[in-house]
Amino acid sequence: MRACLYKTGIPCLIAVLLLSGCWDLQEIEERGLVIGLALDLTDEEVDPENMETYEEWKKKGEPDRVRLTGQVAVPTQQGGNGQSETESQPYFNMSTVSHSVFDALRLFSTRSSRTFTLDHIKLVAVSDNIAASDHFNEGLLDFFLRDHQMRRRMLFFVTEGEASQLLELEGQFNEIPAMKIEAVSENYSRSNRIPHPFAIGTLSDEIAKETSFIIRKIKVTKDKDIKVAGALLFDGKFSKLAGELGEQETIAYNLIVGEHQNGIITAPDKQGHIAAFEIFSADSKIKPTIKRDNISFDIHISATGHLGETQYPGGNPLTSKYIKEVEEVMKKEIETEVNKVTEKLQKEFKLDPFNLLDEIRVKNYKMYEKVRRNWDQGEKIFSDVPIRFHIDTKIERIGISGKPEQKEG
Amino acid sequence: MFVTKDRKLSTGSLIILIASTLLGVGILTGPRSITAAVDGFGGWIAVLLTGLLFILIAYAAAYLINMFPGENIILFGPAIVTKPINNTICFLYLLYFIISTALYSRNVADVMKLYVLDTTPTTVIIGSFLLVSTYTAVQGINVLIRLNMLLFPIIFGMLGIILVLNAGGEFNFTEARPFFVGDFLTYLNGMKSSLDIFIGIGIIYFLSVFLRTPEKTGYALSTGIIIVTLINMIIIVISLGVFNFASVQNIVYPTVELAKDIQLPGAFLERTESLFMTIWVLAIFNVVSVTQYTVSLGISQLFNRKRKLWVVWPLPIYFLIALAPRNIDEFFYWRSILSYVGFSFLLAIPLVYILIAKIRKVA
Amino acid sequence: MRRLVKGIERKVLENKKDNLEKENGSQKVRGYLDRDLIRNTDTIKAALQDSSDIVTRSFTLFDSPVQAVIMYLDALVDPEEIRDHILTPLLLEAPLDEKSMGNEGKDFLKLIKNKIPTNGRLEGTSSIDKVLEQLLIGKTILLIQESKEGIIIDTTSIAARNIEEPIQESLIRGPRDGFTEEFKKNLGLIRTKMKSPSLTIKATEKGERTKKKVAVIYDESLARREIVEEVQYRLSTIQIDDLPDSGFIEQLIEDNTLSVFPQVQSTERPDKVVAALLEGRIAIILEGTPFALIVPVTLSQLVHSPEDYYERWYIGSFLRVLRYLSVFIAVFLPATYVSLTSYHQGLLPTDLALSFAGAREGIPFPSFIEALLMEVTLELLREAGVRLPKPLGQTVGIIGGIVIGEAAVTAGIVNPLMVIVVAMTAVSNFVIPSYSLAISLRILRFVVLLFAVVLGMYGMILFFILLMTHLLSLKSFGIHYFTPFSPFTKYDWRDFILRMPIQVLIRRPMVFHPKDKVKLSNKETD
Repeated sequence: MRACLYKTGIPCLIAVLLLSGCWDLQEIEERGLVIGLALDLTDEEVDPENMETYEEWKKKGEPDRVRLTGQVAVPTQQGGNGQSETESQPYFNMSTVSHSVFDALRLFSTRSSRTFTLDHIKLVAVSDNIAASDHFNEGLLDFFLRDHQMRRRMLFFVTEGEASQLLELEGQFNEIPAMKIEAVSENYSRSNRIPHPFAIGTLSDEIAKETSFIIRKIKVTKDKDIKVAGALLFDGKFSKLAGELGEQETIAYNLIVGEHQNGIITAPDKQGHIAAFEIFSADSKIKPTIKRDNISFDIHISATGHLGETQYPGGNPLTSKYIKEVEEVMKKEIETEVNKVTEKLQKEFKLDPFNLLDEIRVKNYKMYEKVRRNWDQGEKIFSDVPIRFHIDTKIERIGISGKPEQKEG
Repeated sequence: MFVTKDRKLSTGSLIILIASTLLGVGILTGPRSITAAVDGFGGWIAVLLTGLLFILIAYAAAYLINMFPGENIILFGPAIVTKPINNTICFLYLLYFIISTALYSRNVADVMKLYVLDTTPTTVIIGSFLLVSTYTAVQGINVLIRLNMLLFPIIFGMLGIILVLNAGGEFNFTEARPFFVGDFLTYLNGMKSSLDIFIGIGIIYFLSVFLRTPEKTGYALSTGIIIVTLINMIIIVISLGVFNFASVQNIVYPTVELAKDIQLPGAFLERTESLFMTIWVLAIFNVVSVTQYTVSLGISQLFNRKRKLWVVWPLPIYFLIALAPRNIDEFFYWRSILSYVGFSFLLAIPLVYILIAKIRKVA
Repeated sequence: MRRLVKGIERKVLENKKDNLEKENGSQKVRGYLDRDLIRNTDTIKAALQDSSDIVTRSFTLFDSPVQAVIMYLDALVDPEEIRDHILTPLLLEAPLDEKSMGNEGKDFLKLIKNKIPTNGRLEGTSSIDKVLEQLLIGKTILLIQESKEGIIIDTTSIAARNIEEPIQESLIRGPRDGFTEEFKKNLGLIRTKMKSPSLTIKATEKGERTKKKVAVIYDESLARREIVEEVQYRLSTIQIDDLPDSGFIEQLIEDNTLSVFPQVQSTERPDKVVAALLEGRIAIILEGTPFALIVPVTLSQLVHSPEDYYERWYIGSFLRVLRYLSVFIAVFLPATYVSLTSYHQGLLPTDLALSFAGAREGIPFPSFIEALLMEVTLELLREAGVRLPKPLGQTVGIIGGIVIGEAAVTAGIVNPLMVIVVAMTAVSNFVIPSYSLAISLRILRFVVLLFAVVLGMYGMILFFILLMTHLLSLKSFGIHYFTPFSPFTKYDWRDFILRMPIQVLIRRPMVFHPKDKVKLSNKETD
């Protein structure tokens, strides 16, 4: 019967202890769900509420001022009496100016009856001038990587011009822009106008590893649509913007790393007619060769796609002979493209976004230890490494027009 | 009165007891600390080597236990090293158990505060956790074992789901390689960090009174150790592949981030890290309640007191120790010191006892 | 708390002692029957406080001068029985020769005993206590001048209802008969369903003042001796004035009084009892209640229903899975709702979170008050439905539920989601076949709600561990309550969450350690 003490006493004690307060209880409707964040550099004055910190900051010398724009979802109202209410905007944007992201975020709360929760952020966008600033990694980006509410799956975008434009897109279905972009970017393989999703977790991994990396830059067009505008090359060591790649260069880069993204290669065939080859799957194998101190790479790229267009006047070009011919032409074209981009990265930027260093690490750890500090930093071994490309193209489909092969004569 | 009698532990239940007692410790912080210790790759080898080392220790412990079947260190110790010395050793060992258990419950509070319960006082989280584990520890070894057997599949299954989904999704094979790298010194460094995964097997010195088949202790212990070693190895490799060698060292709780990374399309729940929190709390709960039981058993035998009461009386001590570390750094510091203390006990007891027993010819 | 419980225990023990002493003291007070007929009748009448329902009819036997008296309690006997089987033969029939008349007493009595009353059950006694006892259960006593022995004739006719379909546990497919209040009929129902010579029925009387019959029923060739002895031991400790329902026995013999879980199964269905007997379990039947008790019981058996076996195994298994799911929903759903909306909004997909927030917009209460409000309302409605006359009760349940739910939503006190949650829990609760388990789960639901309110998901985990620990340490008559889950009995999983085909269920459940393990000799299929 002694056990009664424990059997009843302990649960009772727990209940009493627990009853003394519900510390973290906050109802869902009291929270503002932040769906997207955009970060811009700005000249605007820092919010007056924040004057005290501002003074402190000023003593240290005027740092960058950032404007943080947050997109907050407005809960979907259930019409209480069955009537649908007039469609109102399902979100609102608010922006604050401060010196740190965390501080700017805090300022949100002073402007609203809700407390904001970051659990549901879908995307974070920064403008290209932030990406180029010295504070990109230390300071400005740190918050997104540190806060426990942030998810590694949040999408990260760099925009041309104001990042906050991205949160002002208009949708046909009265959608929240941030959620629209998330939904759209899931379809990235359909069109090369859609940005390849780049998760913030990947960014954090790349920064931690100090390797160079590439992020697609996007632009908001006049008709409030998003468009991919090339790619940004980041220096791994300092995690700051080092240069840009053009559209074709990006396609070539994707082919080299084997990251499949829709791309079209256009080239004239032997007769000078333009043919367009749409790649729908590309695969690459990077093989490092290490002989004593000499490192070289063989990159095998195999691209499969279909013939999107030929400007062959009349007639019947789609014989297997012609297809072989086009394949050959495309192979040459791709070879030039990839060599061009490699040349640019090796000689001009001297940065290695291909992560070739990883291949060395897998192949020969000792060599890796030796070169890791001087790969695309320090002595820049990367820029002198020979890289050979072996390209294989295959046209799988030719569309629905074209007669079967006929014997001549 | 007829009751189905409390049974002694079978080999199978000892395996599960050991596996679930060890499992909770390493899975959360292991990937980070071990990867940092070996500076990138080969963490899994360090864990494997540590596991093998502990299998040796387990067989040594089993040898000692087999010399006196049906007894535990408190009962057979006096015959070997005289009662005062034995009692002092046992008491210190139990003290170590109290401190390490308290720290585990502190860990629960820290993680819970970080991810789920922001403003809830640490005292409340620790207090409620310790009360629940005490309630379980009071019920005795049979209930504990059965609870372990019940929770183990849950923990194992959820962990499996997380790992499989990650391995199928974000996992990048290149980032996880090379597998074989580094020299013995690096591994040694890694082994030092992975000691605390396994030192929990020390409870066997006290729980050996309950063994039905003492001759199979070595087998049971090593099977438990192998299970835990494998799980930890897989977690390390997978978190390497999902993040990368540098990123893993940056993330305080990589396993939680692994869980966070999963997104099941069309699933009702979006952030699976809460799921992981759940299973981890269950896993730590196993450790804490089993150790609490062991401590109460030891004290009751040492001082000849009623066991059930001595689960409850040390509760304030657990509580105060749990509150002692000021921040997470201090907590990790304490943990690393304790892992050496625990390891020395674990290693020294069988060596010294067997040696003296052989010399004095006690058996 | 402990002191309180201990105090009560001590008092109970003291009472027991007192009762025992009283019993010993009161014996032999009334003594035996006398030769004097008048004195006998007077003694009996006096012992029954001269109650007005005592009928004493004196007459002379046949043509002889021998005086005789029959006594009975008016309300308990069948008057036709007395007229046809006692009075008619004694007064008119049975010619007796002169010799036997001369023998005053013994032989004469024997003759009457042997020949005259054409009634089935008949016994002689000389103890007044016995006479009184028998009178009180509706028997008639025949006393004869100069005889020291009375004859007890069974004329009992107790007002009882007919065998009807069990109200609480109705099935779509399966036998439709249920127990009634009548002890004999209930035993009969079991006997007719189980014509085995090893079926053992051991009846005793319980209730210091009301003397109710209690039968312990088991199959000698199956039931474990230890468990039978344990049941008999626990029954023997019962010292109580009255046992109005088997619920009293349940509460007096259960293992853990502090547990919310029922540790004894109660049922109105004879087929359930017979199935239990064939599993080597023990049934207890009490006079005056249609609820039989079955011990020992495991948690999983409370979730099973006979229909699982009567339908084909796919259906049975499906229903089982559904029911186990409903157990979880009934306990955890409101708590999950509260912890999701008040603590872990991040767990919800964004769209769902937004519609939750929209639904809760403008609700003045925190969600747990909302939940509590609706749950309490529901419990009230349920209770009201039980109290009211049957046709009205259902109406109140439905109308009340709909009207209050709808009105509360329109008034903006609760949100529609909460109504769905509460309705879901209520429906899930009704799915559970055992009423006593269903009530326990209702209580647990409030407890887990409390944990969820304070600590969110973490609180729910703690509650889960507490619950599991409790279930694992709970035993019903020495049998672990949580088997076959833990301790893990592999064989019993064939009939646990899934109900395997009957051909596969070759053995009886191992949990109860039956003496004969095989129930299906499977020669043809093997």
